[in-house]
Amino acid sequence: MAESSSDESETTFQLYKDRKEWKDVVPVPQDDGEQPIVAIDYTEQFKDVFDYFRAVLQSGEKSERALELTKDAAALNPANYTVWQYRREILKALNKDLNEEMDFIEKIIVYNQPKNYQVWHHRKVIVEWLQEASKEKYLTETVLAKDAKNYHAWQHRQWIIKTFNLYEGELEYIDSLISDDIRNNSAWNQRYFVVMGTTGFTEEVLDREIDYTLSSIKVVTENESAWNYLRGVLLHDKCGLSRNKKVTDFCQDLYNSGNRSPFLLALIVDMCSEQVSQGNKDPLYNLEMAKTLCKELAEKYDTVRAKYWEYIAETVDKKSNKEDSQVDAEQ
Amino acid sequence: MIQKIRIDAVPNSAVGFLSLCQNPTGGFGGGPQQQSHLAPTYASVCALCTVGLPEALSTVDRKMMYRFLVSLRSREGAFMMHEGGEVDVRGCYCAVVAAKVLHIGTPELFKGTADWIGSCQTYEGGLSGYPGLEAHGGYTYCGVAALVLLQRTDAIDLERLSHWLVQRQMSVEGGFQGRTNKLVDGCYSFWIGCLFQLIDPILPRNALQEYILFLAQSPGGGFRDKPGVPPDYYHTCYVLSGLSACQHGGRGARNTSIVGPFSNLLVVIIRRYAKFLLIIAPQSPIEPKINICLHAFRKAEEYFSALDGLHSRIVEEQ
Repeated sequence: MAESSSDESETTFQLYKDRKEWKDVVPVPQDDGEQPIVAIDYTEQFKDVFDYFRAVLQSGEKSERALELTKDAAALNPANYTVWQYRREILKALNKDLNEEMDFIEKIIVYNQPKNYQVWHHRKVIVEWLQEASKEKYLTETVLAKDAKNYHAWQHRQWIIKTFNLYEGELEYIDSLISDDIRNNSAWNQRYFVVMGTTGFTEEVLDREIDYTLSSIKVVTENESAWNYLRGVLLHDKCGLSRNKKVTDFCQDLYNSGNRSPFLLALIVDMCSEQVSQGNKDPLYNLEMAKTLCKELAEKYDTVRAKYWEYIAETVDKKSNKEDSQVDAEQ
Repeated sequence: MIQKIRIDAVPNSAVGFLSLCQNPTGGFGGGPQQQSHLAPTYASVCALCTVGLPEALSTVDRKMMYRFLVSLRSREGAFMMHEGGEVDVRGCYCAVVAAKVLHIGTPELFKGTADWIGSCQTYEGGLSGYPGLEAHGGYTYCGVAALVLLQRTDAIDLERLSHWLVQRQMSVEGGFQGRTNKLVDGCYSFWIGCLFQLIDPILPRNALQEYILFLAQSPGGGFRDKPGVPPDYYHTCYVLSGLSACQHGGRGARNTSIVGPFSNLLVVIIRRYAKFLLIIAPQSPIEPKINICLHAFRKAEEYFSALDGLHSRIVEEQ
């Protein structure tokens, strides 16, 4: 956010109040009132630049020199949204070359402020004005190469893909991210986004995605991202969570091999819960299994969530009693 | 870098300063002579509410605030953060809180908002900042708190949300992460911690308190994200709010639950850190939807609903 400039730029920076070409402008100091609260101790340079920015904002000047001024102001506080908004007004008023602006904002995003709302929004607006999205995937990839979960980068990338229909190649990109880090939840989320925006979860796609996810789970059985994605996919299965044979077989095999990943157990519990809610007396996915697993989770495999698992066991029990009493009533 | 604060002068200074941040066109900016923005608007309204004096509460120009909020609406009912600014679920939350505290909400203002927030629920069960993005603790708090205030929690699947929520607690550290497979951070003690209070009474109180007291506290004062990172006001605010949530509990809690000696109860801790804090933090349970003292919120509710005549005039004039 607020920043003090480096020694080098302090010595070469000429204060606006000393610039001949700004003599006609009266700087406007920040009005903190009579009893400032937690007044920030701004540097002289910061005060100077913003005193002139306030003056230009008040007078509504939209000139080349005002544009340069917004550059200095943004460098001192890149989170000052008023500066960026006014800069956009000047760009429009002067009909500036927006490609230059694209270069300018790209450098700030990539080298300086990849986690700042204002700079990404500025980029988005310029792209909208230019209706030119050819550099955006590369930009976001550059940022994601340094931080594969940068939320702003993903947001920009999703907006570009959706707005300009650039889904092609995205699944391959996601694959590369997941091979770098199988636990990259942002990449898994992006997978869901791509499928929803293209084919949707048709039967064929559902099957393909289940295969993909189960292969991934085999590699790391305690990867929450893959298990969450599996559940996400199964949301689209007409048969629900507990009747996809590939998935139920996989879970059974994994369990029988001795695996006690809390995510495996949790999924089986939910399968039981679903069967119980539907009033089915499944030999495997039933109340007993649910209660056994909840107890194991609470006492051994997921103790931090002990109270939650006790609550879930109670909930499934209640569902079972409700079903039983409904059946009794019907008979 | 920051001047010493005289605690007794804080309420008047705060009101004075914040009135300079208010714009004639409605809303508050981040500082004097800045454009209005929903985040400082939310913070200003909450701060004025916390001060609680009639001078503070009456500072807000409610009529212009309503116009400001309307100007930021998208067709679907989402809100941009400022004129020409970005749209995400924070906007909905800030707008809903401001409207609720100031008693200026109308059906027209929030038409479609609940459903738009609902479209932010992801396959993981949590909410994203914008439809399609990853479920995230901060954005989930914003979306869910807004829905609770709008009385529209039917717009999301609470069971799937609960499942995602409980998974956010780290089994080793006890604190919360903001997203699946990411690191713990003290500020999620509030964003995630308060979600438990909002939708589910089962808050894992002790493990979180331990994280807060042993790991999120900074030896020199204040609170931080995690060991190795310096403390700052943001983390101090939200970790303390999370601690309050743990100690005083949620809807289902019948007692306070304190890790460590009784002197750890939030009242005493606040006094020790008062030098470091911007304004005196809650000395009582917080209202989890807004993160201000319950008693301050109730006082503001009384004050503004007594001005009901203005509320109907605002609606008629639109």
